[in-house]
Amino acid sequence: MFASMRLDSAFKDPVSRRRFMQASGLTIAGGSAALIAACGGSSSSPSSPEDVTDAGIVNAGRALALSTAAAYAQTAPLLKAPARQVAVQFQAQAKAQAIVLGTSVEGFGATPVRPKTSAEYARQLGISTLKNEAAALRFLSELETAAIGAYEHAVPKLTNTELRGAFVQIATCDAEHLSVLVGLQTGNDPAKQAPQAFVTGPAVAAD
Amino acid sequence: MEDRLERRELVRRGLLSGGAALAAASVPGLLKVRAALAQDEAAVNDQGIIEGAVGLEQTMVVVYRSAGRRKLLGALNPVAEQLARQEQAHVDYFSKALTGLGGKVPAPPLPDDIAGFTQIQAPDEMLRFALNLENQAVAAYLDAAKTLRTTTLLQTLTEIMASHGQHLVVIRQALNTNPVPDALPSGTEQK
Repeated sequence: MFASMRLDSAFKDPVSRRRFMQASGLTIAGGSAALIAACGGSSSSPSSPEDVTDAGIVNAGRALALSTAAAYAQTAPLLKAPARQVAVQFQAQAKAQAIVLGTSVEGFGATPVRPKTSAEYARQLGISTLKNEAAALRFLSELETAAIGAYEHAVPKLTNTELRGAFVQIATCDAEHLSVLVGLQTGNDPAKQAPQAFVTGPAVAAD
Repeated sequence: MEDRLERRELVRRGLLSGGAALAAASVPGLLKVRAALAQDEAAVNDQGIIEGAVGLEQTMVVVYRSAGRRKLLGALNPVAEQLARQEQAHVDYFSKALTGLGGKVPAPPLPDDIAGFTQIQAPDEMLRFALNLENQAVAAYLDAAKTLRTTTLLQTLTEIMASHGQHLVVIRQALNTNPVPDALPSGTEQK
């Protein structure tokens, strides 16, 4: 319950939040439940004990990265230069992160979560409700913010130190993505692109 | 035995003596320290890692504040004080953690203590200096995330590393380079 509340706060807009969670499989997939458990602390109850293994957490991280890559791919048609080029680059980087995490999952002898179809992502992310570039950039910014928070909360739960490193790197890359997206919305105002000493996910309502 | 002592000395100079040493190091130098850290983890404890982090952040406070006053940060001059305040917030967090681990907060460096810093006269050169320093922070915190035994520090350390990532973005944009060159930032990008 607490874990769900933490992830529920991932988006200011509850509709966007629901889309992202559904697209990532965060409410249903066994492996993804691990990230919810990881994000919610020890008081949360994963759907099954094995979900909180490193493999489960990393698979959940992979699901997030796949959803992020899909979101960039699906919103790119709404974007003009230079935002479109940015989306293409960030999609490739999110995909690269998903591949790295998938390889790690395989290293545990587990099966990496498979990407959904484009149609599934489009429906679950609610892409059709995004009508213009401004809306797309806001959505992508919220998505990156949610991802930053999820990866950061998961870091202390990982027992494998190399995986900790990978999650720290992905959280940092996503913070960089967010900074660029904010720049696209503010005329590259550095005061708004690097506004915080501690880059967290969305504010958490309850713990 | 001699080799082991050398590794210990590298670790001491790179992480345990803090920011001035790190700021003076080139990126290859830092990699040497990181290799030493990997090979001699027993010689590094959480207190030493956090002490190094305090020194590194103290150095960045001095760099942003001093460079901002000298108007040497180009497009980032208007946010120099904002960046310095963020680095100070990192200093404050790590100082509290260090004290909690039984350590003593080192004195911050003076501008003259930071090798090469006061000789810089051109904004592009200063931005590249800051870029190098921020990358060293990313590299150091990546190592720290893998090494720290005090897991309660890990989440905030990640938040701080992400902040450095955003600093890197605005510096790279000021230098007209790719703002996000790596899917997995490691602090080892080519300048």
